[in-house]
Order: sequence, then structure tokens, then C-alpha cells
Amino acid sequence: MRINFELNGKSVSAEVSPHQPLRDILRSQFDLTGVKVGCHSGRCGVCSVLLDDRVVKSCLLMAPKANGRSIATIEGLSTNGELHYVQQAFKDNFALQCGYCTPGFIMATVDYLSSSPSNPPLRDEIKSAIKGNVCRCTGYEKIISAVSSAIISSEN
Amino acid sequence: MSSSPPQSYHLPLDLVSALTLLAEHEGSAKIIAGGQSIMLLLRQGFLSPETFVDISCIPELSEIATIGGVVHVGAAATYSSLESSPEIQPYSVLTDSLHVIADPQIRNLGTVGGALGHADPSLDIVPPLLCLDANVVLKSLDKTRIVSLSNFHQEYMTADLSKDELIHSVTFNNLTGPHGGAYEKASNVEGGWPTVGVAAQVVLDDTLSIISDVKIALAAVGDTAIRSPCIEKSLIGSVISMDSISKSSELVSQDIDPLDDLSGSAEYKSHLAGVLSKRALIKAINRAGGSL
Ligand SMILES: Cc1cc2nc3c(=O)[nH]c(=O)nc-3n(C[C@H](O)[C@H](O)[C@H](O)COP(=O)(O)OP(=O)(O)OC[C@H]3O[C@@H](n4cnc5c(N)ncnc54)[C@H](O)[C@@H]3O)c2cc1C
Ligand code: FES
Ligand code: FES
Repeated sequence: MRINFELNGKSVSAEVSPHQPLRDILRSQFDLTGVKVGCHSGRCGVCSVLLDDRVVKSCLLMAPKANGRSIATIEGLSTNGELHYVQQAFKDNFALQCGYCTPGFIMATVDYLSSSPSNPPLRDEIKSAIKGNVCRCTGYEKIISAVSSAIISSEN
Repeated sequence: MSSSPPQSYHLPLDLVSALTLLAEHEGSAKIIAGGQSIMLLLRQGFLSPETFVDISCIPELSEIATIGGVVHVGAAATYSSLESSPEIQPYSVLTDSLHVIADPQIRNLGTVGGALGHADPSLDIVPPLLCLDANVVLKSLDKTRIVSLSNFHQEYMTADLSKDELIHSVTFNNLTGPHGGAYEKASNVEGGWPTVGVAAQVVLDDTLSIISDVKIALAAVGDTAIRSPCIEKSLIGSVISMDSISKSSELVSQDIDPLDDLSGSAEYKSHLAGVLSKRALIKAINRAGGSL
């Protein structure tokens, strides 16, 4: 079936079948390889994207569900070559090593920041917000610092 | 994958269209809500329906409202929409459980109706709804049925649902009197399925010293989520005391039948069920205004 949707602000269309996860369409038909491939089963979060501004795992998103909706990936966050402030916070806090998990964490953080997080930031609340994402390198501490500093900078 | 038969995917915008599709394709249509359980089954090749009926764009099925003292939760309401709904906030037994289901991504798509349709005995949302004596409203083109949730899941992974029916909503009554609820869960990994989950809902008398009603329900301890009549009988009408709560929590093992599996041995889970029952009861009683 053919679906029409908004992808990083542009109207697009794609030929999909129901058992295809949107992740595979984004990577193969639109070359958005910032949407990573990990577990295929909703456990690791590297494929996280925004569906109508809410974070979801695109490996579990049946492609037809995107019809008429808006999808945002990591590639759509920066404007005119300038990093989104969440990307900047990850960079400033050294919140990545290999970087494979980073797009997923950033998309989860963008959703969390849009749902009025506590400020001053609460560590437990941040941990709940990013618990759908796995990082095998950093030990999470720097990611938590990055999310905290993004919350603080979002107020300014 | 390329050999799979042609499939049609429908996104009806109203209930009658969805029910008509189910009636027309009786037996061959699969209902899709958030797709969070289904997607895995499709990928693994356990399912290959010809027709998909996606109910996530039907506004009526996503409504959450309180009408005449009854809370109605539309089957396609997501866990996230329940978490942020003012109608749900008074029921801490539900909000506790919503906060510990998987992670934000799964909660943004996963729905209550999808959970009830999936009928897994480990689902976190079912014990709280059992404690609230919830009913399940089922609709087909020609009839509406109302089934109590305790009868809706009678066997492992099986819901009392015919092929032309969908789950329309879940309903439960407003609570009166000093009341409190809590959900306690233990799992092997952060954000994981429960090894055991226990929901408790209590009502106290006006002096806040006697338990006038209590309901306990558990996940992941048998073929379906179940209530614990042994704990309930031993506490109803009793004066609040740590001693009686500890003793009655131990009775839970008489009501459950956990399995040995990767998440733990049956013996361990029985022990855990007692510990979590006690914790949930203490929290529920404190939230109701009782002191312990
Ligand atoms: C990685 C991961 C972790 C998870 N962790 C947890 C956890 O910790 N705790 C927990 O409780 N759950 C957990 N879940 C499960 C989650 O709760 C369910 O996947 C979700 O609620 C199912 O809802 P859905 O809308 O996505 O259902 P779908 O996948 O769309 O549907 C599930 C089933 O229900 C049927 N169905 C759906 N809606 C209706 C309806 N209205 N009427 C009739 N039948 C219907 C479908 O046909 C299908 O058989 C997890 C899932 C994943 C993928
Ligand atoms: S690839 Fe989607 S969660 Fe792991
Ligand atoms: S930075 Fe390598 S997995 Fe997170």
C-alpha cells in the first residue's frame, strides 16, 4: 500500500506492506541511517523516532501507521547546520563514545523535554524518561548530565 | 517475506466502519491498536493475516471520561494518555502500574485494549483493573456485551472475544470512602516484564483504623492474572496492624500457581508475591489515610 506522511518537515510518500517496520522504510527508501538497527524487538531504543512529536520505537511501528502523520528523525533536528540544543548538550557533556545509541537517546530526550520535566532536574525522572534506551559504552552518567543540562538550557 | 499473500490494511475513522470490516472479513481480519505486541508476532512469522483493521484513528475508542460515577477508558487509549489523564489520577493503583510498564516509547503506542486483547498473564495493567472490579465492554455490529474482567481472561493468553467483536472500553466505578491503592512490581531488568506484580486497593472505615474492604490481584503467577481471596478474607473487617498484614500476605501462596522459568523459580516467585503483597498493602493503607 502507498502511504503519505510528513518526514522531517517534508511531505513524502512510500510503498509499504503491513509487516514492515517503519524503521526499514526510513533507512532503505529515505537513506535516514541515523535511525539505527539493534534488537528488532523494542528492547534497545536505537531506532527511536518521533511520531507526531512523541517518541516511539520505529522497529515496532507498523509502516502503514505513519500514513497522515508526522515523523521526525535525528536528521531533522538541526537547523541550517546548527545543532539542536539537545544535540549540543550531548556534545558538551561528552555523553557519547561509539555514538550508536545517541540518536535514540536524543529523540527520547526531545520528547521528555516537551512534557514539562521537573526543573531543577530530578535524576529518577530522567532515568525513567530514558529507560527505553540502552548504551553499552558510557555507563549512562554523562547521558544523565546531558539531559539535565538540556532541561536547564531549555528554560533560558 | 516476499512470499506472503497480499495484505490489506484499513485505518477506519469511526466505530461502525471498523465493526463492518470485522463482520465482512470474519475470521481473517486482525485488529491492530498500538501494534506493540503484534509487530513482534508478525516479524517472527507467527501471524500472517490477510486483513488488518487498525483502530487507532477512531476518536471514540481513545476517549477517557467519567460519566455518572463510572470511569470509561476507551480501548485504544494509550498508556501515555492514561498517565496524563486527570480522570485516572485518583486511582494510584493504576498510575503506579502505568509508570512501570516498559518505557515511554512503548507507552506512547501500547493501549489498554491491546493489553486485554493480548491476554498475557504478566501484563502490569491487569491486576490494578481487577482490583477496581473493572468491566470490559465488547461491541460487534449487532450487539454490545459487558463482561467482568475477572471472567474475560479464563485461560492462558485467551480472551473471551469473538471474531467479529472488538473491545470498546473498560469501565470501573468511582471509589467512595477513604481509599488508597498501590502497585508493586519486581523485574529482572529495568523496564522489563514483571517477575511478579501485585496490586492492592483498600477502603478504610471513617475512623481510618479498620479495613472495610480490600482487593489484591497479581500478575505473572499463573495462567491468568488473579485475585487473592485468602489475603482479602483474612483482612476484611480487621483492625490495621503490621502484624496482621505480614501474616495475611504470606497466605498469598495458597492462591497462586507460578511456574519455574528464566525469571525465577516457582518457590522464589511465591516468596516474592508475599513480600510484594505486604509492600503494596502498606502503601495502599497509608495512601487511604491509615497509619502503619
Ligand atoms: C519491549 C516491550 C516491553 C514490554 N514491557 C512490558 C511491561 O513491562 N509490562 C507490561 O505490562 N507490558 C509490557 N509490554 C507489552 C505491552 O503492554 C503491550 O505490547 C501493549 O499493551 C499491547 O498494546 P497494543 O495496543 O500495542 O496492542 P497490539 O499489539 O495492537 O494488539 C495486541 C493484541 O490485542 C488485540 N487487540 C488490540 N486492540 C484490541 C481491541 N480493541 N479489541 C480486541 N482486540 C484487540 C490484537 O488483535 C492483538 O491480538 C512490553 C512490550 C514490548 C514490545
Ligand atoms: S531496534 Fe528498535 S528497539 Fe532495538
Ligand atoms: S555510546 Fe556506544 S552504545 Fe552508547
